[in-house]
Amino acid sequence: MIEIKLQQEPIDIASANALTGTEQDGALVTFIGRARNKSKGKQVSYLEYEIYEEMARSELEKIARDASEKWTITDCVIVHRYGRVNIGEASIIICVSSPHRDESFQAARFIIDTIKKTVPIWKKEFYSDGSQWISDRS
Amino acid sequence: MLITIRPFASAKDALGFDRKEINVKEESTVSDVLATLLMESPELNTLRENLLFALNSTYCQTDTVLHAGDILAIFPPVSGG
Repeated sequence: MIEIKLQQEPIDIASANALTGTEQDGALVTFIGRARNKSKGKQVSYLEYEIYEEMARSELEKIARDASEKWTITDCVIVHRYGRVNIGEASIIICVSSPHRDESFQAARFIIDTIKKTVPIWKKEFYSDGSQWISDRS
Repeated sequence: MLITIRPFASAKDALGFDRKEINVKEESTVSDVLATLLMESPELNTLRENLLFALNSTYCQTDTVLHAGDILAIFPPVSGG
């Protein structure tokens, strides 16, 4: 099962985990990306994500399908936020389940790394004295 | 023919709109449209080398030929996650 959600509201981590996995799965790997308070020495107040929704959805589905072809995984749930994300909040969650742990670890790593390269979502950092688009894949 | 331009993030800031229908010649390529946009909005020049393009929600190259009704997205390298 592949499920993709793009939303403004905070991510319910427990629900995303609960959606993922079946009785055949011995492993569930969850990656959570969070908004940090520092970036290149600057204090970050909050983030805003802009999204090209139609394309982001199709790119995320493609990445999840690619991961399902590369590794024996059962479920893959990806939730990405857009709009304002406060420091410490999750901007993304990736939940992957599989019968054995290796597949879920590898698939989750592949999914987040590929998202950072191809999914049309952009982060803007807000500081006390201004803001800046981030485009350096950091 | 009419196509729709959808810039995002810093490209949107440089162009000053988030969606616009423009009239282009038949057989125009992404490069042709970019050249027109650069003339109208020189601010886009600083982003030019890193810009990415998507035609109807799929990544495309600058030599891709456009058709009436196409949606051409223009944006800087992505930074989601």
